[in-house]
Amino acid sequence: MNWLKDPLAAFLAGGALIFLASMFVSDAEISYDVEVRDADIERLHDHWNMQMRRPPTVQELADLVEQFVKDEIYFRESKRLGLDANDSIVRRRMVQKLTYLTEDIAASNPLEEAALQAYFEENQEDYRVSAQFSFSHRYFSTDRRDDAEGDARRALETGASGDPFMLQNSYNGRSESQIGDLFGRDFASALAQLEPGKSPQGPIESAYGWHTVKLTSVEAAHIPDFAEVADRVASDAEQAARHSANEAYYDDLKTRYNVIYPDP
Amino acid sequence: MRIVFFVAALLAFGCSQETAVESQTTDTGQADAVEAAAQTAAEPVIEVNPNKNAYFGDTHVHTILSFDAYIMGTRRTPDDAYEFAKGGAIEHASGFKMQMKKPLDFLAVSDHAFYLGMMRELADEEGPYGDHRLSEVVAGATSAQGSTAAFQAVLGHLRDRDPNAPDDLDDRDVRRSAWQEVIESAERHNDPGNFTAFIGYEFTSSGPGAQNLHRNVIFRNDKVPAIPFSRLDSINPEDLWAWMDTNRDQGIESLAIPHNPNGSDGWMFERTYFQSDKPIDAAYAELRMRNEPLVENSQVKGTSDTHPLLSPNDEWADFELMELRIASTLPSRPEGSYVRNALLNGMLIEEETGTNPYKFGVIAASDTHNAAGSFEEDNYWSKTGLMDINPVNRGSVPLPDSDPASPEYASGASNFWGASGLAGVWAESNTRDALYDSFRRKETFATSGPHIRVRFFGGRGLDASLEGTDDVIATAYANGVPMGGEINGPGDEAPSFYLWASKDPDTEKLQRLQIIKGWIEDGDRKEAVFDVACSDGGQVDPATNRCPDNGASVDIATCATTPDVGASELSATWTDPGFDPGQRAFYYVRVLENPKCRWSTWDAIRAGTPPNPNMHATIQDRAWSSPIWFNPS
Repeated sequence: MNWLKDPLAAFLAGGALIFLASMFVSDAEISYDVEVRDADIERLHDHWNMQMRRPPTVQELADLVEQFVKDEIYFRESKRLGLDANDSIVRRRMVQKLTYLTEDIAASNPLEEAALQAYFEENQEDYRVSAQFSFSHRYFSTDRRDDAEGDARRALETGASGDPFMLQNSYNGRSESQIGDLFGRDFASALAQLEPGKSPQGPIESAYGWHTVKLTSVEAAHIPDFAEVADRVASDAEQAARHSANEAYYDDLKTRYNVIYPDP
Repeated sequence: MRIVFFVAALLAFGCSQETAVESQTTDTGQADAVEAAAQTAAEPVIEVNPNKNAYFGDTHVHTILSFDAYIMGTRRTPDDAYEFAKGGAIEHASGFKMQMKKPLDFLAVSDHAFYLGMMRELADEEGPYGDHRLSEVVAGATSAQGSTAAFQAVLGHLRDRDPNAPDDLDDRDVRRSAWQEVIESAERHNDPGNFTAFIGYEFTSSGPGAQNLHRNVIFRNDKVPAIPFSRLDSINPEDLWAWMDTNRDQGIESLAIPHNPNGSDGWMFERTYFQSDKPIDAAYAELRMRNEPLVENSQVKGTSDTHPLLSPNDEWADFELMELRIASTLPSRPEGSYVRNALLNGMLIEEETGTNPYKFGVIAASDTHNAAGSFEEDNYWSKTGLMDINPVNRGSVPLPDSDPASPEYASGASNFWGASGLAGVWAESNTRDALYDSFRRKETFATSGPHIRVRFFGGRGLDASLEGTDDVIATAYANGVPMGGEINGPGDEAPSFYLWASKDPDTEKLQRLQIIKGWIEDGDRKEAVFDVACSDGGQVDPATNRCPDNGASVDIATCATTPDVGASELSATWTDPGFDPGQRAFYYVRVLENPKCRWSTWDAIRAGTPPNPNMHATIQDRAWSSPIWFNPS
């Protein structure tokens, strides 16, 4: 009986026994009518206000009401399933229990390689790698020179080497945003406009001075191969599967309930 | 019959669990195959720069797992803290999104070891601690008032409990499982070459009168102890170091970084053993230096570089002072509480015992309790969650019911806090090993927030011909020592120094570059500040060692700064005019930005109120290098 040592399996087996017991208890008194009353909405509103120190927005309140409905349905369903039998656990705990139960079921089946591939195909944009620039540059300091821009411009012809620079003289495969963090945003966006080539271009102004830039290569923004992001895909897909299993379960439950909202 | 069906499904699931366990070998085999495929597809190339890059990070971050952060309303996890460090936006306890202008290169989550993860348990009214007498007050910490009440209640529990009886809030299982969360999160986010996630925690010890002795313990890699050593094990830092020594013998390498010496009332850098009259000896000095090569000299709760009473001739000493002991309103005496003072005392002790217990380098860090450091003056969210997110509660905006003609302000500890600071590290690559080796070498610097870079080399082989040459850094490494290093006698020739700083591309330009020298002369502690490079073509006056005023100013009404004033970079070669080959000395760099509006002024402008007259309206953000020491023969 190895599986008895597994806490989850033991918990589920225990739950099953409770359900079997509950078969002998009538569930007739548990209603399928869920009524959201004005008082409920007011309570949700006030609770939010107390927690967040501001009233909820229309959307936030709508979400709270939906959450309330879901909780109510889970609560009733939990009772119907007998999760409360011989136990003083309150509504929140029961809802949590049922939620964990469905999550565990979703997580219990590791996704097949094919399913991961399919997930990747459907959600490619999430894995897009932004354009990567490889470049070297020469620096002409406005602090050291009277006409750094002119000196840089002339260096395009003469190949003059410029001034020492605090950062690296060349970078491999950096995004525009990373280049902006190092050199300043304007420099990065100007560099991103250049065509790659063998000759130095510019000059471009950075937060430090002027630069001639040899843009050696640009790797266009692209979707990576599945293998490169397989780990990320696996964890994202598992998350998504969990989410959709929960949704499907709730959607199915919801069809069995009549939810009555107050007149708007 | 729905129930019967569901039960059947559950039972079937129970069986399939068994199958899953038995077939584990097959699953693992598949996982290996996938991993191998991923590796061959994209073997990561780690960039290495032999001349080293400056990497910026934060070694001091609290999350939901810290007792106080939880009470302050913070629900962000270690994962969130790393996401924020990588440039992401995460939610503050009050609901808005926190994000930096640019990401950090490394981060260590450093939650308080004692009660690690415990408040989350207490607040769960249906969990095993739901009946604890503190459960209700902790669960009620969902507002500034609720947080304050809970904070006082938990501190009261700590203060009043019987030290000889077991603490019912110290649950080893809870701590162990939270520590596992910390470890797993760092492992998930560590990305060699791109982002380094260190595993760490805070040892939160203090003296009986709130004398702060806190330090962060940072581990070199994933070899970490099963459970951290906390203040519940001992409040004596010497016991922490002994524990670290024992770990080291077992291959667990770590270092401890003390913070907020400013709030220690002189206890952080004492001349005696802990709570004892026994003077520091060589054994103490070696134990301490083996475990504490660095000190945090600036953070949200004030800057600990120096104090005007200790450095009366340093015009920039009055900077982001926080003169209270930590988590109290008691004053903290300056002697023994500041870094420059300790560097001097360390040399005095060395003259007596032959070993210097305070030969440390510097870093700065945030000490955020929002899981997200606040480093930008115009983008400030202080550090204590719900407690001071409202500017009124941090004294920058008048109390709502006070008379506009004579505004009154809240007076709390948050009034003395600021948007600081960052750790700077010179390392060949952005990996745990490379950064940790730099920590050990003290090749580190500190900033009060901006990404200012500062290089510093000393030696007898450095001269003015270095200035402006293409291979200046390679030459400086070849002929001198970098920050954190030592120059030894004998020799009458004065060592020279090469120093170079560059601005943060997103903040103010630089105003002046300075060397701070401390030395021992006939048993007396001496210090001096030398301006060595000035912006805007200014020349240092040799009589005063000061740059001319560059005219940079701030319009307090709009926060506009003087355009076109200041330097993008400042550099110099410098030789000490007062060098004496018989005197112990240290030298470190300080570089100052032009002034800009302080966070409190931004708060006031946004609220349409005048800045609090008791706060500095502007700030000159800055960076400090680790020292280079001169040891006479």
